[in-house]
Amino acid sequence: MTAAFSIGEALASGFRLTRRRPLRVWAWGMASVAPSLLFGALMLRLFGAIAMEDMASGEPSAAFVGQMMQFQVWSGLANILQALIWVAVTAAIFRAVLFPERPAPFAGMKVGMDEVRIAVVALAMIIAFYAAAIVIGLLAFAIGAGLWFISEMVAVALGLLTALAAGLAVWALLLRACLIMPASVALNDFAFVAGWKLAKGQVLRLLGLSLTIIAVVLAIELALLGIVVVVLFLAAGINVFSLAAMLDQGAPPEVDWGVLIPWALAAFVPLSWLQGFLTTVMMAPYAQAARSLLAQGPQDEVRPVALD
Amino acid sequence: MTLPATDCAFEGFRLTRRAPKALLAWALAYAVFFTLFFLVAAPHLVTVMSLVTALEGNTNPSIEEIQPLMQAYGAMFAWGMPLAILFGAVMNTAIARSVIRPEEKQFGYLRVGKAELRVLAVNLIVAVITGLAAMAVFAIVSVIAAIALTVPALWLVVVLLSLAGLALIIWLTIRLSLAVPITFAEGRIAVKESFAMTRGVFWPMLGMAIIAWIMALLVALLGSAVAAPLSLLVGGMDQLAGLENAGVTQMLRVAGPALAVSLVVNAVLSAAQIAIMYAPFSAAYLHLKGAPRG
Repeated sequence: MTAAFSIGEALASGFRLTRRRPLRVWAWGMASVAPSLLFGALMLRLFGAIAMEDMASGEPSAAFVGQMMQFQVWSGLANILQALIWVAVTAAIFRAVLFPERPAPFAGMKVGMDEVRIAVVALAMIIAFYAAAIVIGLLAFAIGAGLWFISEMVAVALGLLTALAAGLAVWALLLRACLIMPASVALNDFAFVAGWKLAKGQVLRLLGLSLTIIAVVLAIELALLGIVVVVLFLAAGINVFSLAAMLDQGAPPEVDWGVLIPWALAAFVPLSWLQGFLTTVMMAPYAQAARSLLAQGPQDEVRPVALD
Repeated sequence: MTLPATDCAFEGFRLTRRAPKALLAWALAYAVFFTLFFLVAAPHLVTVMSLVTALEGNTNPSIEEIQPLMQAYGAMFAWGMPLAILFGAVMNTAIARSVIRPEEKQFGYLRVGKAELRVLAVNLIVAVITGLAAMAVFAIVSVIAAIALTVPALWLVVVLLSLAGLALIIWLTIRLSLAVPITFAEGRIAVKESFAMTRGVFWPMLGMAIIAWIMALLVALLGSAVAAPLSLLVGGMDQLAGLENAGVTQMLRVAGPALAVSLVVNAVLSAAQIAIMYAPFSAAYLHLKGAPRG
């Protein structure tokens, strides 16, 4: 029998995990949102400190340049922090799906070999993606340039077609590689080969899974946005759309910090939970798919004991 | 013979746990090297920084504007390169020694002797071989690119040849990557032996090298996250721009704390990175040789 995983079961795993461990999901969300708070605080500090003349001036002052450089350094740090937290949260979600009975202090977030493996695999995939994009760009350019003097239209069309075909091939390769990360956690090793083999013959299923995840996340976000707009309109009489149009036309927003900050802090609780929930819905299905495929694999291959 | 690529890739981390004092010694060696390099190349470095600052915002600099920058770079590397090659040989040997003969831990495995001279020679030979291959590829691609200016259909050949050339250089680098551990372990310059030993294990070796390289990259990223705010807290390095023709004393007076922070952070990071990147090859050598690991 050919091994396969169920898209429905994989998709449901994120929701099941959220129902089983709501506090853990919230902790993941809080950890994920924390660098954004740091970033927001930095923005407030910077733009609060900049004189309006500096913002308007074509020739910025040395103090302004200094503040911008400081801001860049700190925001770079916030970005690295965000990436590290993403690694820790992803590893925690994968472990929660793959080894549900294992104790998980600190919501399963830690720094260990799983995290190192995920960071290495993620970085390898990013580098491979960019390398592939450069190669595709070069090939498309070469085909386009080669045919330019024969027919400009054919050259552009064939160049674009090559880029499109190669782009689809890269997408297929990324789908084929997307089980390497959860497989690395499941098998307690760098599963570059095992994860690759695991996804053999599953690319269309994985495509279906990834598209379904995107659709579900978008639907949840749109529904929540609709609820927020209605609640704001009914409860506070704020027409969000006219507010957006006003901001669009350059009307200076008057911010009452005394009111905004308590509201923002109150909003942090549901928003951080939402962030955790969406991250779980997006990442857990891949772990579930890997778990299911590993469980169906040949019995003589190395498998973690917790897999059924 | 198979090679446990991921196991070997972690030899650098194992090394830092097994011999933390050696890592400190290497960081100290790097600090000395950077200081020497700074003393030798600092005036040129300041010129480079000033020229780069002057060129900022110039989206289309002319050859005349770029030439002084290239000259300053050339002068910096002409002074710094021999020092870097010698230091590289000492460090490569120390790392190979720490994995292949872990019991010889005196002076953090650092020595200056026959082994270092042999490694220096083998490093030069490997650099010449890969350099010649790269030059040959570049020459062929350049000639075809020149023809492609008049025969545009050849651009595809140029791209495919460039990719093939890159693949050749990577293949050559991997096949020659055991030259240093073999040379150290067997006490003779061994280039052909590296080719023989890596036969049939190219892909695991490449995988091991990629994992080790990415882990070194991660260490660099984490290091930069620590280094940037630290450097900023002590004033940053921008103060060096505009100090061309200044003496070392004046530079130290203006940007001393920032330079000190940069020296310490870079020394520790470089020592960690070189261990993570190079130790796996010695571990792979021991594994392929069937020798016990320390």
